[in-house]
Amino acid sequence: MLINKNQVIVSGLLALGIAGFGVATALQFNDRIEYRIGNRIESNPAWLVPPKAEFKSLERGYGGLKILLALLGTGGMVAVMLIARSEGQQEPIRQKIKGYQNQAYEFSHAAESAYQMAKTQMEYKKLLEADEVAFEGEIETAYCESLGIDPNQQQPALTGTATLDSATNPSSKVNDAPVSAIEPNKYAYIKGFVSSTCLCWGNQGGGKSWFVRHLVCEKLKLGYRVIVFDPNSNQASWEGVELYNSYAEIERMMRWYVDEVMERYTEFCASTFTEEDWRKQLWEQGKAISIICEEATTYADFIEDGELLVKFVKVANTLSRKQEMPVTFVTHNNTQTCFGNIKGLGNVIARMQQIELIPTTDKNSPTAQPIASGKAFIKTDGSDKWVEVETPKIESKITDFRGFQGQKKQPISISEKPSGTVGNVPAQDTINAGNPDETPTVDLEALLTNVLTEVSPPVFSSDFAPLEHSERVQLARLVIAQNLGKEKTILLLWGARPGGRNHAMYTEARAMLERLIKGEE
Amino acid sequence: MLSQDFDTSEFDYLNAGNFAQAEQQPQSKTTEITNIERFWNLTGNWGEFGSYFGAGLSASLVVRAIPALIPSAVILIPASALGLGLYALSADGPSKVRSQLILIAVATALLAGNWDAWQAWILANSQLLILSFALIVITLVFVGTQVWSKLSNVNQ
Repeated sequence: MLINKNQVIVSGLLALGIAGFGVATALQFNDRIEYRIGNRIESNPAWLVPPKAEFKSLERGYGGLKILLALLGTGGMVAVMLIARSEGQQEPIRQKIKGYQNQAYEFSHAAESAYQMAKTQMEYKKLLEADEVAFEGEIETAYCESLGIDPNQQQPALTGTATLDSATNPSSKVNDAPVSAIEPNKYAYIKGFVSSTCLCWGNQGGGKSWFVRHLVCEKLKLGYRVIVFDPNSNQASWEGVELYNSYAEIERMMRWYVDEVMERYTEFCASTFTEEDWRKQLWEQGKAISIICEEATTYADFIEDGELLVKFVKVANTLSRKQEMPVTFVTHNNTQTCFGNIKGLGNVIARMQQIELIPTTDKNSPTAQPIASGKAFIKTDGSDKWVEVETPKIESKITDFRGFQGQKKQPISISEKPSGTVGNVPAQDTINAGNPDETPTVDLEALLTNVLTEVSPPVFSSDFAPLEHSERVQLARLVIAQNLGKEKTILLLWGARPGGRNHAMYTEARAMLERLIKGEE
Repeated sequence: MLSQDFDTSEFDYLNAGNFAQAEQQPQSKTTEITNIERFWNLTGNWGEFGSYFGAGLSASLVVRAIPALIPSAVILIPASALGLGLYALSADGPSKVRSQLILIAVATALLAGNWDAWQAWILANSQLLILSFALIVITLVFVGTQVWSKLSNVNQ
């Protein structure tokens, strides 16, 4: 099979060269004289003709043609030799490249198959979840019917971790107010932003602040205690919620927030609660706190402790959910610059749950001011997919939140202490500072953040920060409480992976992990 | 016997064996030559032979066309052939093959390309050639007989 066009050229030149040599060889070079001598007729070059011979005819020689053909044939053969040698050197390289191309094709095929498999798996999972939801709905309907309740009748809104059981017993957590007038399906996505840490961003006039105020109402209705950091505002704009409007106070509250989350983790690890019970208890004790960070882009310029800001953002994103302390950040964009271009936050921001509010131009305004378009794009935590949604229509900016507060008063210490700051804001010395002995000597929360982000070496390695064994165990329990899966936890604590030559180390680490989970040291 | 019953106290695990024994040994990979590579090798070799053949043929024809070059050719061609022949005897590897190839290609070109000249030469010197041939044959037969008779006597 013809693979290379040079094959034709070489074959042709070789054939022409051979033909040229053949002709050049066959032809006679000199003229010959045909003569008769006696009875014989012979032909010989002139110098061999005997003097007595009788001339008959002259046979022409082809010396010139022979030389020409010989030279052309030689040229053709030299060309054949050079082309063939060059191709012969290049051919193994071509074969290698072809092999690599085949490998690349196979790899691409495998990757495509893996992608299709993952896609099918995802679709299957979604179908399964949808099936489960439908099944739960059927159970709920049957249960309501057994209690004599019309399942289609509008039910009171459930607050906190209220269950169906608690809904039938209105003495606990029932908010008698009807569900918001907003169409439930259209704005169902908002629920995801109420109880999770999220980033709310967009250009000026997009409606970020209005949307966030709506979120605050929803949070208050749900029973959250809402704390607002808004450096450009005053208490009149946030009636009924705790406001911190100076950077010094915001910094202090950030520190409190980080400490509070880590302290809760310490308590949780020392307790025997399941995660569900622990969260339920937090709601019952009124410890579900939500922070609103308005104008978060400016924090980096005015908050002196940059590390605290990084830690605050990381803790809010990674550790707040289980402790019911979600944070809503309001910024102008969703790049690393949204927190003042602080390094190390790029990945954290990229994975956050986000909503982008889209502004439009007010056609009625002579200055064409930007106004909210009622459109937004949302992205869930860890996903890369943006979905267009509608934002709730709000007639006027909400400034008074007193009517939205849940019935249960938050008994957490920070709010009940008298404060010398704006409104009912607590002073820092009342926050987590009653007993200095309780303050841990080692900054475990910072270490935990470093371990989770894999900035530091494994906890039980010799390269890790010098800690007492008990402190390491305490830190290890905090890591275990993250529910990262055994493999990941072992990697973070001992740096061992399954398989390979270090499998024995992994097995040992796994045994130690089991002991730690059981409560042994 | 269970593994814990086996006395391993004197067993030197560290020097028990060579890890390389259990691992895959490096194997000499035979290079596979594809058909296209064979084609390039073959055409390359024939091209080289043709180049030498063509060079010899062209040179000999040019000498015949310009009779003034004949004396120098008569000296240079045998001298070059002798030099190349000696080199072919002493060299090794590709150089030896290449020098032999040049000798064969040029000799073939000189003989085949000038067949008419050789024919005329043989005709012109036929009597001398026949005498020379007869002398050679007689000499060889005589020497051969003598050697054979001497060797036969030694055996007796």
